[in-house]
Amino acid sequence: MSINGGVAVKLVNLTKYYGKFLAVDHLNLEIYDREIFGFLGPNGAGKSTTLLMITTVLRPSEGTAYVYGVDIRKDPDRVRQMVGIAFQDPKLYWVHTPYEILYWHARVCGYSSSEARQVVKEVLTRFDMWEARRKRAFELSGGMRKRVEIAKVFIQRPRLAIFDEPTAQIDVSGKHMIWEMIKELRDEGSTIILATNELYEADVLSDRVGIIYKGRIAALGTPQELKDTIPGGDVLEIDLDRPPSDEVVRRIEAEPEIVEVRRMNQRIRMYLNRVEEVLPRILAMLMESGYRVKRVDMREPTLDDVFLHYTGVKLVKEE
Amino acid sequence: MNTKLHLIVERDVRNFFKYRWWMAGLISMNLADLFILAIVFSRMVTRLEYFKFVLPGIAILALFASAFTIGREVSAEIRRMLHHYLLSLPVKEWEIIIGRPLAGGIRGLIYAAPMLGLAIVLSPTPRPELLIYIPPVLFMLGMGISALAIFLATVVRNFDAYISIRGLMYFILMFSSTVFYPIDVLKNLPTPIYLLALYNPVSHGADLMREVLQQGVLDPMKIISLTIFSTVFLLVSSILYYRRIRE
Repeated sequence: MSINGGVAVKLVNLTKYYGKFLAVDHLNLEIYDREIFGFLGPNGAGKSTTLLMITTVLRPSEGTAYVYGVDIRKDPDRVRQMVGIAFQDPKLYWVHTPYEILYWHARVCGYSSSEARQVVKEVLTRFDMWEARRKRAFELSGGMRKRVEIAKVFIQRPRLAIFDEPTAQIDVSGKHMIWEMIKELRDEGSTIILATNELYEADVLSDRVGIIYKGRIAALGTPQELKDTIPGGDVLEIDLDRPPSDEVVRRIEAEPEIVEVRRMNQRIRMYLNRVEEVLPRILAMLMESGYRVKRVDMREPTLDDVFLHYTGVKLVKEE
Repeated sequence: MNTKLHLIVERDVRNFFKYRWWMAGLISMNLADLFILAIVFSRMVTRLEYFKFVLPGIAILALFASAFTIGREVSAEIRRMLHHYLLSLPVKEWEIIIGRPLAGGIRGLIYAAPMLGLAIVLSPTPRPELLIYIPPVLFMLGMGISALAIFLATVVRNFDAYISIRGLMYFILMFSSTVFYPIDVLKNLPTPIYLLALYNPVSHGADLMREVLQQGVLDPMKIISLTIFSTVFLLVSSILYYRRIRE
């Protein structure tokens, strides 16, 4: 399945050793054109190393990757024409100002002097950094440095934009602004790879998510698909006006999406899949059987539950 | 040709001006030492206008100090992994590799220019047409010194060790040279120091300038020697720098 038909990035047995340590273990993956692909995993899972190989900064030990059909090993210069990255740790020269950093970046990315001045002003204003444009990088807060790093990609507007933990150190309003800008970039035609260990960020932004753990892809799919793969991942609780009969419990258990049903006095707790599809049917059956529904509570699994299911560890704990 | 080499060079040259006061401080310290020495030295070197003698040396000192600073930046970049940023840009690897020493040569030339100008004014050469050779020779020497600094930055992985070795190299190349004293005086020092001064490219740069300014003579052997020094270190440092950033 591809979202818009084409493959933007294809990893073929992509592998990286640091000495004897296997950081990325024969990754095979396709990232589709114009999608936001969330790369989810704890620190040290191999996310950044994979991204650095795609951007041609690191050479693979084995295997390769293709960016819009161009082999990163054979033609890295062409690959870099199409790729832009915002690094996890801002790569800023400490005595430079945000304006100088972005102006030079714009020039390297092919803007003329006048265009560069224009685009830098636009982007710095958008990032609420225009007032701080003359401060040197070492005078900026961590969040401001991060904004400058991300701003580089929005100046470049590459065909493949890579963000490595873009909203770490950014305040809540800044996060929402950056998420909106990432979506805009995708809507303008860029493919986005978003490496993160923030579950909510991966969930709300990504068209598809790849869970990486110990250098390997543990699970792959849309956030909803991944959540639905957990047997009984959804939890549904219904409080009734009286304890449910055995017959009612049997009828609920007969629903194909139900994994387990627990009776707790007047409450029924169900572990199931696709709660949004099953709930109307159960409510209809209960009311048909003469029960009055006093309260309904439902909870979908989070990506952390997905992570736990596929890796056996909780992502939040590992942070 | 769609090259971005000029942007790599421009960036390094602009960087240099971020540190201009640090550089001025460094050279001032050298000059303070020099003036103390000069008081002693003026009694040893009679019939020599020491100021005219030393001005070309100071120009070379400025060239050396400014061209050499690029090593500190390369070392810091590698330590902080800032080279990942350069490697991710839509520029070719060779542009990054070659751009650094090229910028070093330009830095050296810029910083040496005022001293060179003063030396030309105070020592009007009998053959002004030879002055045209001085900027390219100084540029080449500056590139060679930058390449040497990049070489050190790539082979010495510990930053503290790098700082120490850089200081030692600075001391050896500046003071075991004819920047401050003529080679005849250095003959009185231990043989290794004399030999180092004799073959030191910094000596050749300073002597070449003096000969042009004061005698109207251009020694092709010194140009060949500087060319060999710069070419060897450009080649070696380019290979090592490439390997280091591509690890």
